[in-house]
Amino acid sequence: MTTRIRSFVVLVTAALLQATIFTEFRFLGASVEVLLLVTILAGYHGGPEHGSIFGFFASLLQDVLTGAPFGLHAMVYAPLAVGVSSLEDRLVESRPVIYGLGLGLAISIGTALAGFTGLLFGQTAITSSLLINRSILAGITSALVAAPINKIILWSLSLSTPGALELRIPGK
Amino acid sequence: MAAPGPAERSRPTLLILLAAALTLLTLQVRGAQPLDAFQQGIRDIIGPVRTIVDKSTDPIQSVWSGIVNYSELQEENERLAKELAEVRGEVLSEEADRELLERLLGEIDVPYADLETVVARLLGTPPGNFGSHLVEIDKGSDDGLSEGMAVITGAGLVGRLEQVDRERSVVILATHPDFSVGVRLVESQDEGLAKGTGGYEIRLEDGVRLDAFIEEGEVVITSGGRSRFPGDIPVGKVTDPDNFAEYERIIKIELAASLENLSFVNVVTDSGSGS
Repeated sequence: MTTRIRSFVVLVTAALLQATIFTEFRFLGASVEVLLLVTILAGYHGGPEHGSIFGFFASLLQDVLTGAPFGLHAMVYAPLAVGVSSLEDRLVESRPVIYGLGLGLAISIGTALAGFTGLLFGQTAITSSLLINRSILAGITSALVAAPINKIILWSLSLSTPGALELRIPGK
Repeated sequence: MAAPGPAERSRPTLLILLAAALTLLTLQVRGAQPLDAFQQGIRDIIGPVRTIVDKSTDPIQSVWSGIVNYSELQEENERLAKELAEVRGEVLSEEADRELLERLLGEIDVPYADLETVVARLLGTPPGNFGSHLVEIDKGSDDGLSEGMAVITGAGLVGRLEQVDRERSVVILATHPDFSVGVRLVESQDEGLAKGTGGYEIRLEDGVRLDAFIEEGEVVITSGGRSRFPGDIPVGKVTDPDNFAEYERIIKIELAASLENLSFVNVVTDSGSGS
């Protein structure tokens, strides 16, 4: 199976998880942002180009699921994947807790930016308190489920970047 | 000359993707039908999977809800007990209001209860973290629903259908800032446009005369006519008539239907225009 097919499988699975389990099981109203999570992990492990393309398609699926106009989430997901990819060199020697915090922060920022972009494009029901509250909770909940999803992303990339992955995961 | 690094190589890709996103966004905001149809098609494919997972995880969801929302459930229980005590003391005035409403509805000969409706079960909030004032129901275009239809309960207006897929639909609640409905004040007969506020109430800002005397507690119903909703659906009661406004009158209305504890709703499939 090629990397593209594996990435497609990951995207479809993430979209189904987002639409089912993670929509139904919410924590204080906030749900895990699976599609944003896979975008960030794809950018981190796969590099800026792979991350941005992966993030673009993930964002289109997010638009479909949330009923947002096509392209709204892409304005955030693709640049965020590129931004996160530049961090991988700096975090090589970091501890897992730092990764978790970084991931949670990235997801919170991504969720907040997506909400803010929605606000710019007429999604008037988003208040500032809702934006902050949900972004923080989404970051925390998404970071908690990141470990198994991280392995799936590594599997999807394992054909395209042999060996390089070892440099990006310290302690393994 | 050194070869460009990964970050530099990705810049053109990112710019192309952003341009594509902006193009799609512009097209859809301008109402490009193929994009809407494409989105709906994908949701229709995912729909059956969602239904299966939803039904199979119902018991687990109940347990999860009990754990995560325990304090909220406790507060709700206390609030409901308090409300019940208050309601018992207000039965007489409520009955008087109901009689007035029934008499007025009878006069115009369009009984609110006779509307043709489809009963739908509430599924929860739609995917995503910012779907506030939106709920999903388990009926869609296969059941004869279409966008813009009024959603009601026995108590009154709840909202309207915003997004209709084959097996499920999204309801925009009356409290959503994008929601608006033509209403009429039953006693004064003034009409205007009421809008959601993003809070628990709706506001009547346009249409009502500055000098019209409106009593607190006056019943508000949908006006029908050119409005997309059938007329005479109870909306709520005036909580602040703003009788002394000088330039701009803002009348606050408390909704008759409780939007917090919905389980089943009725979608009005007959606009009533033919009656």
